[in-house]
Amino acid sequence: MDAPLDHTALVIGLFGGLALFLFGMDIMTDALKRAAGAYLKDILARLTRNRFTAVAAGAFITGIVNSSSVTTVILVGFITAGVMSMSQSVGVIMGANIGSTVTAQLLAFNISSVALPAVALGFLVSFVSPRETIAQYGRMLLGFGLVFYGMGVMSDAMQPLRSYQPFLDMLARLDSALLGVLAGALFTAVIQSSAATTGIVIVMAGQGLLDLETGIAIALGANIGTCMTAGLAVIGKPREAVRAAAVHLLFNIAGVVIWIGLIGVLADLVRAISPNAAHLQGAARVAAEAPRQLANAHTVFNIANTLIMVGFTTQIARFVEWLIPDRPIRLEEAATPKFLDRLLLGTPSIALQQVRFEIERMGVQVVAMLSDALDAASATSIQQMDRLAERDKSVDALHRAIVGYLAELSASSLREEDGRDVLRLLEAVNLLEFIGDRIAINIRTTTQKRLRDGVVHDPDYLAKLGRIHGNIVTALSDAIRSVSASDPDLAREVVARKTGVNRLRHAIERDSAAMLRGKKADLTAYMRAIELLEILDGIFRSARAIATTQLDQDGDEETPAT
Amino acid sequence: MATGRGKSGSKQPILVAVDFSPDSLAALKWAIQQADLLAASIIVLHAIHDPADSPGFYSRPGQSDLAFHGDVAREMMADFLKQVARLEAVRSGRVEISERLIDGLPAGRITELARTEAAQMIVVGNRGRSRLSSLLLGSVAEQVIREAEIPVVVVKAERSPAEPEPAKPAQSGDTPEQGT
Repeated sequence: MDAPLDHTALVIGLFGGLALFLFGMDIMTDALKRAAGAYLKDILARLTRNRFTAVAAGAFITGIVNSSSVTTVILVGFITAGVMSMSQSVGVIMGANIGSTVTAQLLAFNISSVALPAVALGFLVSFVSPRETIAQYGRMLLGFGLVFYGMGVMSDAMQPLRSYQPFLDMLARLDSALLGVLAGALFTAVIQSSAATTGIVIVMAGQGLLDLETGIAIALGANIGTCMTAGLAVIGKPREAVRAAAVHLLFNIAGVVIWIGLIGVLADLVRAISPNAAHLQGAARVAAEAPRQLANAHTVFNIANTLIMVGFTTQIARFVEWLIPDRPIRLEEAATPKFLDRLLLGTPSIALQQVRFEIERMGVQVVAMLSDALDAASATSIQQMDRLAERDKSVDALHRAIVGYLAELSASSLREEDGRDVLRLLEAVNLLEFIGDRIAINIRTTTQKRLRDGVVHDPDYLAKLGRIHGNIVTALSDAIRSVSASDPDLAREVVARKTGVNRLRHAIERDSAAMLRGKKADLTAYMRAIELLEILDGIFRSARAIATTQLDQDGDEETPAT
Repeated sequence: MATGRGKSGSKQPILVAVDFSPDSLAALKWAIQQADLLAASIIVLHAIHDPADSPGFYSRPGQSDLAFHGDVAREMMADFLKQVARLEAVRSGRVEISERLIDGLPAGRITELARTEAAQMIVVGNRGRSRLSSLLLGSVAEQVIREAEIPVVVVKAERSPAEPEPAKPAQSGDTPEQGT
């Protein structure tokens, strides 16, 4: 007769172990994203030049951060931002599946004995290291240890199940590839981690509770379930981003369709190529062989799927475009942030890049306001100026959204560089908003006064003011680009414009002084002319200050940006 | 995104869809001649869409960072329009040209904009950049002919490099309301 099963101990062990596993994965991925996030953007930018390097980029990034979902969420962010196309992302998505095999291979090592030392050492490093990057590596080690400790807890909890007949009967009924795939997909979609599913399958196979074929079916299903995360990330995003998530799902479904009838062949193949523990017998042999066999099966089908389909990236892209057509043309809401994706807050370097995109978008609106400001300020009625001032509302809304996003970002632990970037971008966006206010409030007020006083600006003055205005518009535009592209050279060019603009200003001041002389002396006209000039000069000073936020990056010393 | 300059003429505009290829240039030049005759304005549309040719339609040589595809497309459009800026009809202001850059799939965006702008005719180049897409859906020109409710003119560039395109209409589609 079977020994009675302690259900409480089983449930506590399973869920406690799973919780430790997922918590460990979370810590590890988060630490890696924070430590290596700055390179992810560069890797993607450089390696999406052709489909094969794109696959390599996807594999590398996913292998590093241990999560294909992180890779696809980053891709969705870039596609939404309009810096990457869905077509370019197809190869990266395929590569992400290959990268996920690294995790499965790691999990197959029976190293639960080093789990607690890793937790202890990782904690120590993260606790005592004065450098944020080193501390993040410590947290990575801590997470790594927790993952294996969680697996050990689950494994111990499941041990009694090996001789518990009702459970073995239930597993026997699950002995169908399709059911295994469905179970894997569903479980992964719920817990949003294919690594956890693979980890549990490895634990169960190690306990002899699952045969290799069923384990492979569940791991195949996990590939489908993992698409859930990107699927949730694209809700409300542009069609191109939705298509990227669809590519991920279709690619993984196609992979399952290819392999579901060949699971037996795959199992035989991995039995042949995986290390053999012939010196062991029974459960001990299964425990020694099954984890690596499963990890190898996971690696083989993911690599094979990519090899089979990498030649069809174009066709896959076209098919998905046919499947998911465009929405009707819609003018985007100027006041609604487009790039500030909360899902990317966990990858600060990428989130900061999104902020730069949004600042550029806000900057385009401010530059357009400034370009139109001179005409509005010299018009014969206030209506044009009123319409211009109205546009400041969307600038204010974007400012609020960007500041809020930066605040959320700075609430998490950041690398020193990322922390400095937050301050720089905060300063830049505040200055930009200030310029919007100068246009909407100060220029509007002086225009109102001019119209009240019946002053019409002298054409010669307006022509000269037009020159300084053109210079300031260019300076502001360049200053914004220096922020969005983190370009200190361009920032220096903006700062160097000071002499030229000052010369123009002094020339206008000299000429305007003529208004005060002679019989036609007109103090009011002079005051209005100088007032407008001073406001424009103030805007130029703010533009220079925006550019200056990018200059500290060059220096070695850590001068505060504000 | 959509950018524009100038206003549509009093008559219904001619919509020219371009992908900056030689055929597109031929299409635009032909459309300018027609617009001059009909006293119509021209809308030049480029749908921002990457047809999956590596390294990407909007990648620039030496580019090591991520660039907004919209910005690259805007520069491409500016360079493209420079090629017709010296034509007498354009220089004299007889034919007013406005530009539109819109994210999306080309064929759908072309017919959609033709509807919203009440265009009288669509002009496209014969063969664009996305030859591979024809495997699944046919060329953009074919799709536009199929879906458009107004006449469509498909223009081929002359293959000889010496003489600029004396473009000729290759096909046209009619609607019951508007014959060509």
